[in-house]
Amino acid sequence: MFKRLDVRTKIILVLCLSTPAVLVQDPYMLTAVLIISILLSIFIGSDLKKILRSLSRIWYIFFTLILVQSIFTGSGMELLSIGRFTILTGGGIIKGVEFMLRLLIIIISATIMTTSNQREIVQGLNQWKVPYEISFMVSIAIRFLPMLAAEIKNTLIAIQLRGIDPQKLKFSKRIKLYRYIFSPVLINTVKKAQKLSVAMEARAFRAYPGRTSYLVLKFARIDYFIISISLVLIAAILFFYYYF
Amino acid sequence: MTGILEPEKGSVFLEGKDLSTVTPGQTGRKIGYLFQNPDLQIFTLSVKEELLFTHRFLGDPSEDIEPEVDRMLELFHLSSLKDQVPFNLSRGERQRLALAAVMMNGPGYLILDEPTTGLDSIRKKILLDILKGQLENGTGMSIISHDHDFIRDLSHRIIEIDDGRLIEKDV
Repeated sequence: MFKRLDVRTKIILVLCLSTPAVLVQDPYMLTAVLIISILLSIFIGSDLKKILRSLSRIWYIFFTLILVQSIFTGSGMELLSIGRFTILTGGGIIKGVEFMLRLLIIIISATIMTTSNQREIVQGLNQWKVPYEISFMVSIAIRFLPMLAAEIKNTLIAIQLRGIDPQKLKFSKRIKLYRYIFSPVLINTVKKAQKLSVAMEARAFRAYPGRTSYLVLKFARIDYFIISISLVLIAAILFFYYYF
Repeated sequence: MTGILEPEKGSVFLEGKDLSTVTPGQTGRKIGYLFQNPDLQIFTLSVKEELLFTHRFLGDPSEDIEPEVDRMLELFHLSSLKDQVPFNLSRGERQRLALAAVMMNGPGYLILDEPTTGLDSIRKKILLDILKGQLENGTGMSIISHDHDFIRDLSHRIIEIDDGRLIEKDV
């Protein structure tokens, strides 16, 4: 039932989940939204395991972000300090955890969109009267993102196969090395974009606003139901958060 | 064979060490790998800098390596292009640059993935002569290619994959 939701319903769901992530500043409420995001993501059929596995590889980035957030938010009880310089405070850790919760809600709610294909997303935006230039750009971005990720990975492997072990380099040299990943990736991306635009022009493609489409999306009853529930819930959450 | 992918069964050994226990960096110092798409392994903004890339990170002073860079530029017919931006070179030139950069490490073994893709007959001949030279110098190599003529001129052993089966052919 949930797996056949219209792509527009999924967009509204993602917006309803990510809005409190940005506006709410209460760790308990954020935890509740995160749990709802995880459950919805599982019901709708996204490959949450795979995404969590990828996230586990960058746990240290999350940890650093919490730490940095905590250092720059000096409120509450002092927990760790070096001389007169306070590193960790109770309030700082809470802010850091809130920040991580926000990030997780946004990432996990966005996984809902991965259950629709690129064509459906473009069609959904078109039927919402989003200008075709914009929906087409979105579709190209969705198509190119995994390629970009693969290219960064391949370039890093290529650098290592030149006999360089990034882990064994000094920190400053390692940062310098990572800079070299981006020149081939950036140049290849520009080249690919050029080739794509020539190929599209050669096939007489133009982003005309008047288009016919084989795929036409239609809301089902369940879509109306989910959209209504989501909008009511988000309004209730924000109302209670701001007025109580 | 370079440790990029893990074997589904069995093990690959490099100088007695299981490749799964060796980092790609350690493998790269012994095996030179040429990607099918040379753009993936060009990182710098000049041809000469590209050849110096590994040595710069491994801490070799540039002066000591300069004669080797000049020799590689000469060998791969890149001397006139040494200050050019690699991404503006032709496909064949980029292919030769990628191979020259791999050779700068002095690998004892080369793995070349479709090295003739996008090369015209003249460039193919240049590449063939370079690889023959490397074979004579004692560098071993495995070449993955659809170019039968190119392979026949270089190989001591050919393994074909036909409909998922391995067929060994005598040369």
